[in-house]
Amino acid sequence: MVSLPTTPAELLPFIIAVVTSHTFITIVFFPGFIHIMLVVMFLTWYERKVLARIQLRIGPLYAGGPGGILQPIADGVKLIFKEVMIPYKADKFLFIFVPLALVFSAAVPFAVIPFGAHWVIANLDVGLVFVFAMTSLFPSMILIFAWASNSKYPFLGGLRSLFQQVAYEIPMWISALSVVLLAGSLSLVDIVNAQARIWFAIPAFLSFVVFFISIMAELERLPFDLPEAEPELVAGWYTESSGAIFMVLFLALYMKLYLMSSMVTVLFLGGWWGPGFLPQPFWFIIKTLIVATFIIIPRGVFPRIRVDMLIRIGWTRLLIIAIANVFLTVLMLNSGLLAAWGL
Amino acid sequence: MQYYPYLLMFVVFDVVGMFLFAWGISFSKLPLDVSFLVLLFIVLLAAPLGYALNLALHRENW
Repeated sequence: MVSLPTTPAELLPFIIAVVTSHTFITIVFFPGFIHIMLVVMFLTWYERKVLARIQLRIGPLYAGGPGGILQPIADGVKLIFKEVMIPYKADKFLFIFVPLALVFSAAVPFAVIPFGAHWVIANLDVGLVFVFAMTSLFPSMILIFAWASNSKYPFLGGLRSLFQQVAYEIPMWISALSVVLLAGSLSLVDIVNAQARIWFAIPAFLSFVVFFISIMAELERLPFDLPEAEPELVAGWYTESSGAIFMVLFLALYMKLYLMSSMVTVLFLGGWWGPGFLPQPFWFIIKTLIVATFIIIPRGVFPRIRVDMLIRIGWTRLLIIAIANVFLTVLMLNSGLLAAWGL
Repeated sequence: MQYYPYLLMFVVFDVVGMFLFAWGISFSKLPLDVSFLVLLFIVLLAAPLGYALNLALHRENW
């Protein structure tokens, strides 16, 4: 804790002490703002590159850097200088406010994600619930944005997004419940510490599968990308957005992709644990990018499914499997099967 | 409007899910018969869930 300056001579040492403090570095540089922005920019390029490889194309190449890695910067400059077109009858306040709120609710949960034993901004006791609470703002925000743009295709996309995210939120929670049972805590740091000897993907394998499918639906990735279905609804709920507003929405969606991939890493893939010769955040980011790759790959492989099938699969199959896995976890914990790994 | 019942089911299961988390963190400290009651409650929820899913299929209701 740094004391506040009282004279002008103390101002410079005060600023230096603040800037070099662990809190400032974690918020601004490493698990915080700059790191997330860089990874999100990288992810937009990476998704296009992976899809191009699946379809035997080259993908982004000419924007500079190795393999056109500067493509996100070119896209960003293009989108910033485009005109922001707001539909004549749209609700202007919500049309501008909701994209910002979406970025907020996608960025704030990174405060509780532990990228290393000491690389976490805030170790909340209810970190898991906090992440779920912030991400569950998404469906309602998307519906508000779709409604505010006052056009039929965005509204249909927004309704689909609401039904889909609501149907897959419960299986996601219940599958995370098995992890909570195993770790005995809602703090993400404690959950990762409990996985020092065995990753929870092994004792709670069914939960892992259910959670992975649920986040694919939450992220509106193929085969669950009905809210954006290009052949049916022009571009889904963000049809009317353009220029900087579209860029902010895009940023929020890719931030959520990174957030959900890191949630899989935290809950099931052992978080920062790995062989000790490299620092902990390195292992965390490697695992997270591998999970993100597996979320991206189906987009080049699978067709889209029908909306009623989608909702019923979430409510029947996934929910039943998740609840069954809770029973399995209770059974395993009580029978002492997992005692060898300190659970 | 044909998917409206799923939203009603969400309103119920949202609350149930939240309370299950509260049970989850104190599972290791609770005696087994308390946990048994919670699990029994989840099993009992299966019947209304099935009925709601069945009703949701009938579009004429909505």
